[in-house]
Amino acid sequence: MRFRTFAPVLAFGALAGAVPASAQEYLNFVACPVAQDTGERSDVCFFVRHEGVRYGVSSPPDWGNPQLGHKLLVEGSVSDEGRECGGVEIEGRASVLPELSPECDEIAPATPEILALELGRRPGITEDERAMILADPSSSLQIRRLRALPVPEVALGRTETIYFPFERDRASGPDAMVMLELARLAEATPGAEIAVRAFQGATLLDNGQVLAEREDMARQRGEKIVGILEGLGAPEGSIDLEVVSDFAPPTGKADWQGRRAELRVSAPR
Amino acid sequence: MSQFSLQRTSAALLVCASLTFGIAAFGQGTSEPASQWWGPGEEHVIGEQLEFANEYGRLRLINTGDPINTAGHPFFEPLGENGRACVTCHQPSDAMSLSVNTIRAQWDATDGNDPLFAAIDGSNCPSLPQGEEASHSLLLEKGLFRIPRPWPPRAADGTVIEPEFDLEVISDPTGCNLDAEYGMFSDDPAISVFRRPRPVANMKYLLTLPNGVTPHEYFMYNDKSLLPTDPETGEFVSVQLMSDGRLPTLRGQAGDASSTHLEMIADLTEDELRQIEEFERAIYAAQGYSNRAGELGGPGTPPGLGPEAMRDGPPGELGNNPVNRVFGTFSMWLHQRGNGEELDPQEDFQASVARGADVFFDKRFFIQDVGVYNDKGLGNPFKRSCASGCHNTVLAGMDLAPGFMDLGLNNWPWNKRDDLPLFKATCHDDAVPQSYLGRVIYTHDPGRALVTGKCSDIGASMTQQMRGLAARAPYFMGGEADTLREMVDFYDRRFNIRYTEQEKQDLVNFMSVL
Ligand code: HEC
Repeated sequence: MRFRTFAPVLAFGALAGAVPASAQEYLNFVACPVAQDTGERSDVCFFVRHEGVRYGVSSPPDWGNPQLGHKLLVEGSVSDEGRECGGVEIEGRASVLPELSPECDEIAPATPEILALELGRRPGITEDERAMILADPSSSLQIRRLRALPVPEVALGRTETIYFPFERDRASGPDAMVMLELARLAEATPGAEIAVRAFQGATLLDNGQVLAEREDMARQRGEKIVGILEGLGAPEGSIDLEVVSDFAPPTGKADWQGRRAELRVSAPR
Repeated sequence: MSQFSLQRTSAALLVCASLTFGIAAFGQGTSEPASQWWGPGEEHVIGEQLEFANEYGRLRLINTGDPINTAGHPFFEPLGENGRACVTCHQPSDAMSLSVNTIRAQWDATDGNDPLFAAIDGSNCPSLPQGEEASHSLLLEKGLFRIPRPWPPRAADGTVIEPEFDLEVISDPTGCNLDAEYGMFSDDPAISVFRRPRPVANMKYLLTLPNGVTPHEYFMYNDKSLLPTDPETGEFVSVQLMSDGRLPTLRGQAGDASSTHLEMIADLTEDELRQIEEFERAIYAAQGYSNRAGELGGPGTPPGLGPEAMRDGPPGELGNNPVNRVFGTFSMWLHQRGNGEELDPQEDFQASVARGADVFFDKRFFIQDVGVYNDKGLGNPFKRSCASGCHNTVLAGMDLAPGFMDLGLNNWPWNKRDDLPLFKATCHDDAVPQSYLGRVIYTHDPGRALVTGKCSDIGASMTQQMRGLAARAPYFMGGEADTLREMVDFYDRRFNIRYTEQEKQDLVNFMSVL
């Protein structure tokens, strides 16, 4: 385990005083993520340092948390007042780059300032639950399920969009739910036609560089989605896949939206 | 005195138990306690339950089906050419797996002539001189059977899967990977890896699709591809069977085992397949008595212990919540006496087990650089405990969300073995690299990648259930840990957990009663 102490200049207090990019300003950069320990009984969170500012990074659930051993592509805009992982919150997306970067290896220990933020806590046992188990130990084996992901509403003729991390074809749990519902809709609609358009993207970084995805990403995403929809019961031959390998010139504003797939189920014409 | 001490079991159990394992214990008609080995074709009656002694106490098995006479039953009959039956490698005394102690005893008792040691996979390589111990060293020392896998990998329908990586044999202590007849360059090119038998009991926990974690009853957690389907029913199946998920159904597995391990020429009949599957689904196993903690299961003891809990428990449920804690509460064993009052030795041990359960559930550490795990959205590191990180299936302790992972057991640098073959995998430039090892990986067993051909899957395997551990050392897919303590030490080293000596002992004691 690589466990490094914080350099004094980067101590939490000092960072809070640095000047973040202002609200609505777009940020596009690649940096090593840092894992922030948040205490003995809580989860880690992640932040990046960029031009002397600490930015907290989080993505939609199950989209892909940052990983040590890999650089992180951050694309977003600074949110007005939100704080994340002891840093400035960024609205947008963070993508783990697939190639290895062993130099990204820092775990920041939980300092008193971090502990005070009470990050990454999960609900513990309640007094009632404790009493219940005491009275009847077998009640500790009862089924407890996570709150179910919401079932997305899908409709004929409406386009659903799935966004992907950079150079990945892994959709998130909520996206998988969308595919489930679309396959069900297609199955329930005699003669349904499914259109899948898969894209790949590029990002204009703040330093002027363009970071473009591998050539076959659009195809890879499209074929994976088609396989999933068919496997979930979408009628054979009902899917039309369009692979869009050219990407629009990146602008530095929400370029992550280029890495997407559009799915639409229609009634027969 | 027999090795089975029954004074604490009820009268009803006594009748049943003596009826069943009495045969096993005294089959030779002597008063000496014989081995607990069940040979192929032998007659035993499996009533409602069976008990077998082990180092830590006694394992108990429950049969929820009709009583079985093993004579004539296809799980227990030598159906193939080499005299083995399924039971050869899935022994009731060993929680339906096979411990290295049993293997050793069987070698000594038969001078190495038991069909267990059949050349095909009970030796390091079939081309070695079979009479010699050295030719069976992996089985005798680590309980490992040879598993030859086609190279390049083939899909279930036989079509070749173009692998994303090239494999080179770096060292081949068994000789089998470069063997002219069995190796990589033979007419039937194969990679030989060496793996432990997995327990064939408590199957409902492995076969039930996960509940309450939608959409993962359709999708693999790792890469959000779809789960495989049962070729016969078309239904999605969990991928908890086998260390690499290559055969996701009991029927498929039995068919494969009969032709590989049993060297059976004909296919199993419909009726044989049905009987095997019925038996596998009916049998539950867990430690039932602890020499130091006493009876496991029943009033006043933790509700998750004993095979009855396995029989009655809900399969496919997530247990990493503060109420359930995977194996239920152990709190009644934690504080049995007021402050200052001395615990008797049994209470003292029970308290250690309960503390072990707490360490298992509560003590967090940085789970880092685990391929196909930290990269599936969780983040690297992910800071969790044994229970909340991976071993979260209620009562069984596998990872519920179907997925494979490379804990570091198969790949360098975390585990380096001299006794196993070593391969160098070089992934193609256009492949997604293994998340923490990159494109050049030294591995003793490519694991899941021998099924998918993917670079990122190299070394990944499926978590195992945690029941009946006392009866089936050594542990892990490649038999890395000879003892429960070595298992704890592996994790401690791998994740730099720094368990205290007391925590380690508590964890060992906890696992010894599962
Ligand atoms: C020579 C020893 C041997 C024999 C004989 C044998 N098995 Fe196995 N069995 C194994 C090994 C080794 C594994 C693990 C393989 C792996 O993980 O790749 C296994 C795994 C299994 C599993 C998966 C269990 C789990 O928890 O994943 C089942 C089920 C099974 N065997 C059933 C059978 C049946 C049925 C037969 C008889 C037709 C049989 N076995 C004969 C060695 C054997």
